[in-house]
Amino acid sequence: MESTRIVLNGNTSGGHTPTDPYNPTNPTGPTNPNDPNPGFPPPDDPGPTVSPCYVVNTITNNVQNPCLKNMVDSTMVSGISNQINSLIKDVFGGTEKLNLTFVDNVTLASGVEGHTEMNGGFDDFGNLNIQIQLNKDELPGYSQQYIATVIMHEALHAYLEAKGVDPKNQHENIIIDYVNKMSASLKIMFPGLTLSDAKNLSLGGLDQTTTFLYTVARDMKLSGDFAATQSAYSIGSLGKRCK
Amino acid sequence: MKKLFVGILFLVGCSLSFNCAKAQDKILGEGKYRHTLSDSLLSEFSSTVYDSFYNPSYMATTTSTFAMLKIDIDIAGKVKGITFSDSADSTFVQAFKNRKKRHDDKATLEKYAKLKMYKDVSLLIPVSFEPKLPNSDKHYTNSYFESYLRFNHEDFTGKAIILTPIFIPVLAKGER
Repeated sequence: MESTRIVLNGNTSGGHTPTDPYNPTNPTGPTNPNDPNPGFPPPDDPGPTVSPCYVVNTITNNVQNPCLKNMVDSTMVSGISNQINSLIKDVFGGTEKLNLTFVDNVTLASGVEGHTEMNGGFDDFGNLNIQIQLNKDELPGYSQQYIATVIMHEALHAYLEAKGVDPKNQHENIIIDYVNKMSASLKIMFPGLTLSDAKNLSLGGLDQTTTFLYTVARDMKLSGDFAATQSAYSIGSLGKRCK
Repeated sequence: MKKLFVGILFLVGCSLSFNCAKAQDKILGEGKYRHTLSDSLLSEFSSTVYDSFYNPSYMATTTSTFAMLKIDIDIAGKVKGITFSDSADSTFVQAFKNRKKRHDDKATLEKYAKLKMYKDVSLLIPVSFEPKLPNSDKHYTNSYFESYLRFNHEDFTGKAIILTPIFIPVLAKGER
């Protein structure tokens, strides 16, 4: 099966990056070989433009399973613009590049629906080459709504990595700052989905966080809804199925 | 009065030297992602630790671990050793030894120590791996906790700085 590859954010820019210019995983390494002052935010007056630099973020869909492949397309690549895929498409606007590749050829442990492989973070050129792995043994039987949340969740890990958020803090960041954005994005993709179901689906994979344990789990009604919704849209029969 | 003047001079001197040293700790990122260079160095190392256990192969492990990672910094600010406390089982220790070495962890930690002016001290990082949540095995016993601050069968004593813990919770189902 052919892979889908799209180039996002094509533009030209000067030598400086207007967004997060630091390199979180290799901060003393070069982020831009032409940048004499790496690690510092751009000055108000960027000065004369150095040689133009074409900037691209790429998303490559190398998923083989037809159901998962279509879901990656509709959620991240060629689907309707939503708050989550817009974040990814705008993650860099400078000289760094985010190369995001979706695959389903990695064996994930039972119960692990998706995994974001950071590949050590930024490379020596200040680029992020992140691989999002989807569980081909479990996800294809689940609803499209559920699969979409897994894809968004993993894409948010890539986004937070680009912003320098420590991996161990990323789930807490997602539940605090992005669950509402995920819910809104799900509602755009699936207009018939209730807000309650959209929120409970968006909380998937976050039930080990302190925020979940001290807020959602303490409210038995919310907690019950969460578990029931997760189950109904995965192994249950709610939601739109691929087959 | 003279003592007071000398005291003030000392404090000002300390403050100046502190600020000069701190000045190397650059501010990075923007908005809510703003942080210091030392933060990013520690984050770089902590990501290495996290990735050693939060990855598709190790996540299949069903044994919980609660351990202290000790980084010994010598008087010259060099890393003399990186060891887990005795509460870490051999599989856990081996997974860290076999970690993908994408960065020079020793160099990162020495840059961090230099920025923070840490010398002749141990950095202690609590690390836990807890799989099968929310119904993980609650198997911790007193003897397990006693081994938590024991390295090579000896209780830890000495100057130490405890850093932000690295907790790695893994769900039995729905892990992402």
